[in-house]
Amino acid sequence: MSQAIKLWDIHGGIHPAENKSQSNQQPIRVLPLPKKLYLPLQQHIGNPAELTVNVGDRVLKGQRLAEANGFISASLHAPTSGTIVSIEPRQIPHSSGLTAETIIIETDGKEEWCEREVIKDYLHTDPMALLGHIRNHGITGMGGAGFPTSVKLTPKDDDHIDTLVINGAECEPYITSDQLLMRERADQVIDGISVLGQILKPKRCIIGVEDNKMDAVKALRESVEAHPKTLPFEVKVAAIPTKYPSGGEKQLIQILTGKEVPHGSIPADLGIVCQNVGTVAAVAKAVLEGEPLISRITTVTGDAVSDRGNFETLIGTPIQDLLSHCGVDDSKLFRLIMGGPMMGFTLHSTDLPVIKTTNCILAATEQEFPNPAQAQDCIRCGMCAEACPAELLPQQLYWFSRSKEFEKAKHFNLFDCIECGACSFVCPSHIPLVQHFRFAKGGIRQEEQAHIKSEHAKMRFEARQERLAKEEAEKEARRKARAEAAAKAKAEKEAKAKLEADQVTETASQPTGSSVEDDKKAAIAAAVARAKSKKATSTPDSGVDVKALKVASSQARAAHLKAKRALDAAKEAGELSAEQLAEQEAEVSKLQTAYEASKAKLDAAKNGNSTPSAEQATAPAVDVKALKVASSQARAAYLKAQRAYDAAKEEGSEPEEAFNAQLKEIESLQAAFEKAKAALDNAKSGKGAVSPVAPAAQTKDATDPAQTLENKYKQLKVETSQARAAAKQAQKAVDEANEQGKDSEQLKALETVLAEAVQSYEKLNAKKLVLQEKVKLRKAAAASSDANNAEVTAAESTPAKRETSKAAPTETTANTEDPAQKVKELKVAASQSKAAWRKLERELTKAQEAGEDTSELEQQVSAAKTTYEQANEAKTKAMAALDS
Amino acid sequence: MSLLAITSPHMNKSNTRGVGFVMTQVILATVPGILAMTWFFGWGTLINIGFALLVALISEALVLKLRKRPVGFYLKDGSAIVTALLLALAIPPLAPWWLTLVGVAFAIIVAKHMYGGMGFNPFNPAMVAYALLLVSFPVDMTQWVLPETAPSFIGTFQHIFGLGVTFDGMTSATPLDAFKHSSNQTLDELFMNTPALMAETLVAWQTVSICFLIGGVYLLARRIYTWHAPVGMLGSLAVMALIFSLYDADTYAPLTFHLLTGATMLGAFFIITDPVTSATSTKGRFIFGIGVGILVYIIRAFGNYPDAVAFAVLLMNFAAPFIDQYSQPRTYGHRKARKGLPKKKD
Repeated sequence: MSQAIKLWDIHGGIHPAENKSQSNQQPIRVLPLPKKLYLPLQQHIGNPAELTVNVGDRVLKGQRLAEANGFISASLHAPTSGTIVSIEPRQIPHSSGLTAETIIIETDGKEEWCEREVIKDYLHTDPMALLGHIRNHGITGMGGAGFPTSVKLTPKDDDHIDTLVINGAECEPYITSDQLLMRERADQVIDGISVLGQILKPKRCIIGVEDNKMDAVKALRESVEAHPKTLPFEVKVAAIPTKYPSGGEKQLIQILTGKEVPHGSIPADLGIVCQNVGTVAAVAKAVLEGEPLISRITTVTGDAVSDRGNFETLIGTPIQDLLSHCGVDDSKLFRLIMGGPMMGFTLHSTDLPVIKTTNCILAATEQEFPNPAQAQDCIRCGMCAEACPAELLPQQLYWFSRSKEFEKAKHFNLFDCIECGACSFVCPSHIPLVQHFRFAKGGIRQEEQAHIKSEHAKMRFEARQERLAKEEAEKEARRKARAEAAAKAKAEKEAKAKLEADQVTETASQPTGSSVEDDKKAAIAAAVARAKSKKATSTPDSGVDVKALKVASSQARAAHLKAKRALDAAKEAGELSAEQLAEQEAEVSKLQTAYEASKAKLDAAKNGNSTPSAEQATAPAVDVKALKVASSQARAAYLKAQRAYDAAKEEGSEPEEAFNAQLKEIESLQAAFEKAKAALDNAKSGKGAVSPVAPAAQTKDATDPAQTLENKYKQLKVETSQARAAAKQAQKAVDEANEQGKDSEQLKALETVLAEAVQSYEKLNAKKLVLQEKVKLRKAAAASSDANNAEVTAAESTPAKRETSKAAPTETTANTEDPAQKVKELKVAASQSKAAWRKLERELTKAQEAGEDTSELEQQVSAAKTTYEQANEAKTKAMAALDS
Repeated sequence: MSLLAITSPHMNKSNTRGVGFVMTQVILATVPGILAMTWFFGWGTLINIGFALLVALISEALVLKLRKRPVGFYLKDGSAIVTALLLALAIPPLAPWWLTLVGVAFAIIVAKHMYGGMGFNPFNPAMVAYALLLVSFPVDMTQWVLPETAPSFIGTFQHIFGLGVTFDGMTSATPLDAFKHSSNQTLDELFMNTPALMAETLVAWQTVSICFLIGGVYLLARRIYTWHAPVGMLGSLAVMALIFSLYDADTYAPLTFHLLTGATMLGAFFIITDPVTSATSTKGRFIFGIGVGILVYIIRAFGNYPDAVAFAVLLMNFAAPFIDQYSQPRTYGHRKARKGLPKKKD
């Protein structure tokens, strides 16, 4: 075996006084069985183990007390037989003084073993089975932090392990437990390497031992030579120069292989697995003897104990027992350290137990480890940087840590600090550098936590904003779509109306043989007439120009006649479809109405301005109160005139002519009164009228185009509903026919009827809708003028009654139904009907679930649904109308 | 029994190698140089040192008191003593007492404590004071006693403190100064005719320089500092001197003249190795040293001042923080060394 092993050097490093001779002179001794053992569930890195026993249970040596909880965890076993007297949270040996659930076993001294599982033929055992065995036996790293060994032996799939590094460097001063192990139990270490070789299948294995332990090196080399069969790979024992911290995993790998574990990687990424000699020996024990990790070799040293040495100690042994056994002088004990003087941590009490990672108990006197001197200012001498094995600049990190410039500290690779303490060791200014670095690391971790938290909050906030924006955009899009649809509908409507008008003029032009221009003229005339008549009716000013009215009237008449002629001609020609005819008829009647209205106006104007109220009364939606006032005024005037006439008649003083004039006046007054009364009645009935008969009755009286439109609309509505009923009946008939299995001819006939009915209904409905829009618009326009009119009337009638008349406009507005208001109402109605429908649906579901009879409910639901749909339709239309 | 909770490491060697130890070693290393100077230039050096130490300790104690710092704790670190010692070695042996007083007081009070005291001062206090004196009192600062012409101890004492008759004639310019102000002669003529450049004088200067070199090697051996800064400075100065003397041997002084006269050796082993004001990493210190060497040559050869160590050191002190950012070592596990400062996030 070639012993010329190439070694590399690490940067920095220190040579503290070794202080190993105090404890490595005697062989490993066994500590007497303690009365009680304290076994924390958390002795390793990872999740605490999960209890599998209860208080009061009697447990056997090697029996599992708690099992690994999760991948990174380790199980725990009873170090000896005894009874579990308590399971309680107790302080554990940890630098932060944490507490953990601790099993307390009262030992019975019988050392009764449980059944052990031994794998003698491990070289022919599946690596996974071996891993499971190691895991079940609670093996953790015994040199440092206590990382579960099975995890470390399970490299990632793509990491092939090339080199197995066994760490026997034991570079910390004072500690000799590994040295004694290697010296006395080298075979166990080599067996463990053999087991690990079976699991990892490495090409080679290097055991690194500092050259201040040549006895251990010798023992290992002899053992390697004695085990040629179980080591199917090259095993070398390397004596490395004594220098702290060569026992650090990364440092040892660098020394033995020349490779650096890249920042953020683990050795397995380089094809290297590093295990402590103690861990390897524990693996051998577990596999070959079936003994879980229930004891370890612990060095007890320091000037405060008289009998220093290494002890095979059961896990859970109270440190006080160890110290007492070694003759501790309590008066001298000044600093109690678990681990070595460079990286170990102080214990606050001797009650704490030995755990799986306790390689050394250092009971130091004040002379040995005096209190740290007062730190001086950093003089940037750079000795720390020279000592740093990670090649950091501790002096810079110190500045940044002190001033909490964590970003800079991170930039100067603070997190590559392994806290070996070499910098603090060499600092001439007594600055506890490692402490500063721990502080900075903690601070950075805290900041990162806070940052993650705030990032999370920010993300949530942004997501919310995004969602809201999206919703808003969708809303906007919907609104736009609606507006577009409405605009489209309007455009279509206009196009249709134009088409109608064109058709009218076309048909009108045909029989007379006149040019298109004439048609246009007629159309214009009709429009002008409409406008004029409308103006005339809507502005019943006392000074209405009779002449203008006359012109408008004659124009309207001409238009009407022309249209009528055209219609007749068309009828005669029979060219037009029924629908077109109907439309033309409607147009003609519209024109007629317009003409009549303008004529009436003209008449009224001719009759004089004495009865503006009567004129006013013809307005369909005039305020009832105003009408009443007007009516009573008219009546009063009439009665007064009558009385005067009667008186005059009795006296006989008046001449005949005067009598006649008076009589005429009375008559006209009476007529005015009657007209006002009729208007009043009309208004009253119109207000309450829901039946389609009322508007029909009104049609004749109506002189306003809006009124005409409305009446027409109502008529259409009736017709539509009739058509609908017919269609329904037809449908019913078809259905019945279908059910009864009538012959196809009959069915066909019925279907034709149905189709016709449906068609006619649809046509009517379309017309109705078009008209509906018109009516609404007219109403909206009329509402304002009506309100004005009412006010004017009231003002003219009696100043004293101004108060009542002032309230009129609002009422008028309410009566004439503001489109926006209507939309709102419709909306409410729609949502109400929807709610009702949903409620019913829910009830239905409930009932269905309960298994009740649901036929009635189902009907109700469908009815409610229909209601809602209708309401919704109405709402949508109204909204479209409003938008347009 | 009260067990202390103290974080690791629990051991350190600062009890044996603290700041006090470092300063003691530095003081010890100056002894050969002091002895050589006394031998050649008389008692003036020792008197100056004694007076400078007195002034330094008084000023330091005074300022510490004013700053409400523990006086004893800080006086023990020995840094004030080193500052005073180095300044006293840099000024002429027969310099009047007030020159020392002003220099040392300025070094301690302004250059050291006003910048935050031990460990915080960005500029080398001794060099700040030296620059101040050189700029303010150029004549007094460049009159150097000729070797082995110094008066007796009493005479020197009287001369320095102005107690008796002052004497002239025995002082002359320093070799560097003499060299500087004699451009119309050839080098040979110069070395023949100028008292400050005659063989005897030069031997004295060279001996003193070599003694400081010995002290520096001692400190290197004791691992008080690393070789980087001195080697950087001497190396770059040598290269510069070599290049220019090869280019024009009649105008530019030879290599040995640059290395062994003036404050070159004192600067290389005692001034630029001041850790506080130098760069921090070994790489940085090497760069720092190179910078000083180049600047020393440039100022000596082309500048107005005869010696340049003080200005070169101060200029490089300015650059030290910047050098620090770009001379970080490559940390274990990293492929490249980090440069500069962390980038600001947003």
